[in-house]
Amino acid sequence: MPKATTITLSVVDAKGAKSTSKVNVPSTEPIADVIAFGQAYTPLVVALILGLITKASASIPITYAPTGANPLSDVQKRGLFTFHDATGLVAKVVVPTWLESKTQANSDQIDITDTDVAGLINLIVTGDGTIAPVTLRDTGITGLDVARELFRRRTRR
Amino acid sequence: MSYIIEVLLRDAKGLSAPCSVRVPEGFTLAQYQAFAQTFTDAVLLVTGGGVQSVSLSLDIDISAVAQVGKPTVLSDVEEMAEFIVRTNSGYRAFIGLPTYDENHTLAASDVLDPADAAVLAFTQALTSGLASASPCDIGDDDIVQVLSALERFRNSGVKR
Repeated sequence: MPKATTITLSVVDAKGAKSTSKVNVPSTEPIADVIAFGQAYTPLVVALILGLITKASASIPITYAPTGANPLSDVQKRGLFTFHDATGLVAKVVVPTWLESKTQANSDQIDITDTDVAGLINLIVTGDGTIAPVTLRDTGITGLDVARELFRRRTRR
Repeated sequence: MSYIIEVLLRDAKGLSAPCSVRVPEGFTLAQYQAFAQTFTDAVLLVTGGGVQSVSLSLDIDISAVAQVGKPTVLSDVEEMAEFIVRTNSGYRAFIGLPTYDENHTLAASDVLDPADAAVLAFTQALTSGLASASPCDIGDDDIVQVLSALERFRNSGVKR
């Protein structure tokens, strides 16, 4: 698990080919300092390249001890949750390696009365008391529309 | 602009996939860490996968500091500037700049011109930092020296 915060600059050339350039800063840096560094670093890169920087982003590691996987776990098995905000705008949360024991019998509907499922839904709708998740447009999530299991096709071996 | 908390889950076959949720900006790193840990705990109760990593991702607004429009006609992502740096503990790290402008290279050489103002500013930023943050390697080890700065070309790969 990486320790440092990684700032990634996405670059595109005249042929439309894409690449990235990464630089790390300490994981203890406050978010505002990470942003300020990225904004000060980008012009220095611009001065040395001919391509176009299309995006700058930062990934800050969160400390969490790695855990083992259940022998029957598959990332192709997923739980799909569709939430909405007050205006009906949806926000999807996909949970890979879904536990099928949390799905209703003879159905693809997730059992939202299950304590663990209800806990996850409640955390997404109401937050942890400080932070509450939002939609893509930064609006507060107000309720759940859909909760069902979903399988994706394996694309590589 | 919202941020993203991503829990990377790995299954028993070693395949990974993310579980992401958007969160509003405006909180401290400690508050995001607390939410991310609670969210990961909740996800683990409904999944069979193991946690590979957890991160907070955010976009940095560079609209005021980067060029807009089109890339320069002769730009190629295969042309790179490669900076090899040394950390405080003696480890080496690599920083690459795709679409490097060869005008900053010494004539008849693959070495970046150390007296070039743009090269000098960049290498100083790697060792001295910018805006109260100083670059480090992936292990949080501070970069203290630029060992080399060379132009490099990467393979174009298979073309259709």
